[in-house]
Amino acid sequence: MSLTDYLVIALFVFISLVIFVPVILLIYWYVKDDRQKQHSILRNFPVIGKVRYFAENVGPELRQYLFNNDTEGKPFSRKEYQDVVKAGKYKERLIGFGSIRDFDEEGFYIRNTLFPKLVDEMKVDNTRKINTRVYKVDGDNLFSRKEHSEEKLADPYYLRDEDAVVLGEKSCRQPFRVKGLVGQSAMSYGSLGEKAITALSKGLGLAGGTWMNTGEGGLSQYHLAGSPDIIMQIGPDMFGVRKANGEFSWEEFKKKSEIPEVKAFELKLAQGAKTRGGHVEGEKVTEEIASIRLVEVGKTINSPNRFYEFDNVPSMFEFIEELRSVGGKPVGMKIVVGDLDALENMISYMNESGKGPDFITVDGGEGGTGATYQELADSVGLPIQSALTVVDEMLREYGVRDRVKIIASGKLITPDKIAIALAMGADLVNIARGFMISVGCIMAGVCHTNHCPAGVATTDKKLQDGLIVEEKHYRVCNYVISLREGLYNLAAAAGIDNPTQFERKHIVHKDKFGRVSPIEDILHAAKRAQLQKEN
Amino acid sequence: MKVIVIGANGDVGEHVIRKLAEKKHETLAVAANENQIEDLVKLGAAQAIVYDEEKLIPYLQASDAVIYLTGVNPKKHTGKTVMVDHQSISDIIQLAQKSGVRRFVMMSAVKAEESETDPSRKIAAKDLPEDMLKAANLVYTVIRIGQLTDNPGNGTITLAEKIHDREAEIPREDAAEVLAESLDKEAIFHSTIEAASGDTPISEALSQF
Repeated sequence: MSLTDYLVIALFVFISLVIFVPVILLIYWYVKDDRQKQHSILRNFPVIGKVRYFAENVGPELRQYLFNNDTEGKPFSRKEYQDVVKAGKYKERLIGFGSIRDFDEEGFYIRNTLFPKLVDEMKVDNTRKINTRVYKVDGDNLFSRKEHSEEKLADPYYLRDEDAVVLGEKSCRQPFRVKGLVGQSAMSYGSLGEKAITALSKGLGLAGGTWMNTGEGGLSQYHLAGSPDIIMQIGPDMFGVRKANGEFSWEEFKKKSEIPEVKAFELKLAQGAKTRGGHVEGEKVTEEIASIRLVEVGKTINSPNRFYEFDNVPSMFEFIEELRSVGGKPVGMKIVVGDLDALENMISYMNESGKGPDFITVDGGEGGTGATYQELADSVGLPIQSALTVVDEMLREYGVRDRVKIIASGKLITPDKIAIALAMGADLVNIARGFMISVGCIMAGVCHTNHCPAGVATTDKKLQDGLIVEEKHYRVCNYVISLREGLYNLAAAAGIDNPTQFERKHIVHKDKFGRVSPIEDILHAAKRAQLQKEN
Repeated sequence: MKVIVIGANGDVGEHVIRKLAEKKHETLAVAANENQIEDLVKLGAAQAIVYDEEKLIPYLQASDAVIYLTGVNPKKHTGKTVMVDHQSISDIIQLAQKSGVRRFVMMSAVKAEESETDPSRKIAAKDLPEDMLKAANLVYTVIRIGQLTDNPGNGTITLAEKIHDREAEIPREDAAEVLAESLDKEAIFHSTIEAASGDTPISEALSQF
């Protein structure tokens, strides 16, 4: 054959590849789409209809990265997300050219005073420095970004000893003293992978003056990796403190309470953020998880949405009394506020009986790390801003506020939101998702699938390869320190010498029309709503 | 040794108090206000008081040395006005002479000498405290330190009469170590030295100067 022949053959092969292959593929798709009975759009508009499904599929990512503006993403906007990441990486919260908050919208504001406190006047304990690492930017260009991390001796911004918050001060043999106001909310091992839990434990242990809530999934070696102070959560499934038949095991409880890192216990009523019973698929119940939770390997766990041990306030309080006397450590409970009558019954019984929890964790019910049902996450329970003030006020009315500390949780991931919660009545604040972001979460929204691309909310070994504990734990530490520093800044602006002094009078609500109203208005409205419910 | 640290509440002061406690010196920390007293005792000061010239005399009489941490800020570049409380340093030097304290270590900054060559007189007298100290009848050492950072200390420095890199850095922890170590190092008596991060262990650098 001559050269021309070869060229003709080459041309033919080329044309068949470029034209015939796609055409055959399109015909295949056409026939397949046209015959299927599942999607009407594809039956009516084969091939072209696929564009819709593709666009829908990549929509969330496009919106998050390109089309949502910086303040509108949910549950957290790009701005909020970046605030957390920057605090973790650079220990830095400076901005330029002003806030991008929409000041026409309604929201809470902190009242500043004419004569703020000087730095020298703040009651802060910076006598012990923390040896952490922060990133420094070397160059920030269009397609490249160079930065390096370096060691830094950071001020920890602890509360002074006399301002430390004490759980179970009068009721327990071993009260829990904490010199910072921010801790990590309940996140179980199993829900988060071992690397994420280890990084959190080490970061929180390094920062000090904070705590880690184990979540209901039991206490694992990963929680203990960095020796942080731990609040062990006990859910209705009793993971880690149960007998083989699912009953509560006092023996196991005693063992857990003797671990020095464990500073307090928390009963999770009504499943906190989830307001439903937990569920763990059998394939996720590995030998390790089974030994931590004290359940059978490979067997699906369906947890009840209420404790079997008690179904009324007196029996619950008896249980709490016994936990406290056996463990010697503070016992609290985590609730989502919905029915104010039920809450009032409990609190009035606290007054009558002199019994009750050492702390109440009030969750906004916005739903966090773990999977829950859409309808429960969206519409069950009051959001934190309403719930917090109501609980605080009720405890005061019945004269038991001094016995009970309030821990607030629900999207309180920046210093200003924390300060507002403190002013509304919280003594301490729990953060879950902020900490997930600090160990690499990118808000992919797939926590329930075990396919977290950042290796945070997954037990998949390969995906967890992306998460380097040694690097991330510094970010956790920096994030906590940064929050505490921010709280001191806000306290100074409000004219108080430390953030434990925040009260209702320090904040105000502004509506769409610029009218401001005090926090007490929330209480009046809540009472009115409850009265209407009764009538 | 009984040491008075004036300006103990500053960024470097906190480290100085801790270093002195580690070296078993008995320290009196003098702070700017009441609020800092608790922290300074916690850091290891034997006693902490609020700055008050009147009350300082008996303490000075009972002490062997003074460490004075001035407000010279090495990050303040050419053109910035005076950042040092001249009155205070002048008073302390006089009080020290009167009370018979012999040893006087003053922290200054590498940029303090820039006023020598400044014709505008705008930044005049950043180095005035150093001159006052040299003129006094005391066993003085002026330690000019480089740009301070929050990095953890390395324990090693370079020491010279004049460090060529005027932007050279030094962690606060190391600066504090230099000040605390310098108290009994005869090699640096009656001299002005400059310190920045380097390769020589701090104690060795000070003895061999």
